[in-house]
Amino acid sequence: MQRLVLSCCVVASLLAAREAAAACPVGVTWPAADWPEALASGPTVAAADEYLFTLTGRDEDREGIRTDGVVIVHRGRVIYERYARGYARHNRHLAWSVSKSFLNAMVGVGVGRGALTVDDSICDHYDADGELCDITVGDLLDWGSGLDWNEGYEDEPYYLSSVIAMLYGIGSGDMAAFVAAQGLAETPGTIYRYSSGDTVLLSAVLAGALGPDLADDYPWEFIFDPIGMKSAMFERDQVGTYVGSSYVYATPRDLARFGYLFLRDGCWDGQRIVPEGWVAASTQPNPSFQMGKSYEHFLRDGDAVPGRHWWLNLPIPELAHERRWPAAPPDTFAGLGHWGQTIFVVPSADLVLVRTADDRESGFDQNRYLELALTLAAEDSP
Amino acid sequence: MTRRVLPLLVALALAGCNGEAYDNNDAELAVRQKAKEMCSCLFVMELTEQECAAWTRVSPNVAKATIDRENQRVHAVALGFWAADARFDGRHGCVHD
Repeated sequence: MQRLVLSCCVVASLLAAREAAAACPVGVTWPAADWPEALASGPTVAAADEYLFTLTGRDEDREGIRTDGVVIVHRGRVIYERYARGYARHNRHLAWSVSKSFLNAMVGVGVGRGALTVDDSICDHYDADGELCDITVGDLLDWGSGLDWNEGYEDEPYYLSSVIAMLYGIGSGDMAAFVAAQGLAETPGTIYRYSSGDTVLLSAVLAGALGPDLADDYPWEFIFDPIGMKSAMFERDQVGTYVGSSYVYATPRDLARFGYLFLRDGCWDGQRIVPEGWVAASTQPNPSFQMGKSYEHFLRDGDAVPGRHWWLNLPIPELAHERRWPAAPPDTFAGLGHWGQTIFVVPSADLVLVRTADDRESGFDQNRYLELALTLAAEDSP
Repeated sequence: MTRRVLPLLVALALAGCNGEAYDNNDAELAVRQKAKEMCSCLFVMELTEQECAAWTRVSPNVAKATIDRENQRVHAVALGFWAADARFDGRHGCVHD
């Protein structure tokens, strides 16, 4: 019964999103070989420089705000761009968990090509059996697999962390197999639990669905090449599975291209890259989250609302949850990564923000950053 | 003699810290993290060795990297007992050997 309810939710969500989606936008600026520029100046730029790029602690102590690069794109033009701490425009930066949002897009293209659907069992495309076959592609997109997982980082003993074991320990050879071997802790699709393991398993499921002819090249064929991300690199584990949880690298300007793809509803230069309705379906509270079993954890941590491998700025009135970034409009969504990597997309302001960083503390105020960027956009003359 | 025995004692102590969840100890994790992330920092992000040493520093800071720029490889060792290698593979970045 639970599966039926979830399936109906997924279908209804996609249908609603499909109705809401429009054709590819026309009359907008698209970056060709490089972004057009309309660089801002004035007191807001100075305020942004000061907030984003003033080191507030000793560098060797890794304290305070440690921004490496910022690119802000308004109406298809770069209005603000800065680099620091040894980085320049040509340097790729590790995206950490912003990579998860890239995998969302790649799954979307795979769905658009008919290689898989969100309701497929993972066993349709990946060599698993038993109770794992109750996990769907959609459950993985929701971080709702129910697989036993501890998403801990440096703030707890390494040997307890599933993600550290996956990236560097006993799971690092075949990461998807390691994830699958964790076993279920919950019924799939009934609870949201943020998990890099779900994303890596999703990457293996996608590769299986696409088959050997595409398994190596799909990141470039589906996303990187069509939107001109020439700097993009995507690392794999030792058996060739893309580490979709963590290991996309690109320059901030190219990361902004990816944000711009989602700002434009999955279109690029008039061509649809991601299927119609996919962006809208990915930027709603995900079905596993909506089941409600993770609300207590969610409220305790003060997180953004989870979409499908994206993070949302929506309030949840019944939980008395305000927007995660109150300075930003409620249609804002984001890819978020470790140590301060972010791509913010603000459709109602026609705005994309990329920040790369090495924040080893949690002091950076994303809300302040969004406030500054929105002010820059408002001051940007037509 | 002390210089040779002490690292081993530390290593064994670290090895004894594991067991509750995953069969990895901190030194083993640190050396694999150092090899892979140093490789990515140098050959993907294209930062300097000094910058990459800072980027990849973890606690316990027991892993040391040796860089083979010609073959785009990094070899890391910890406490004279654990070792790991990573290599650059074009657009697929770095991967453990």
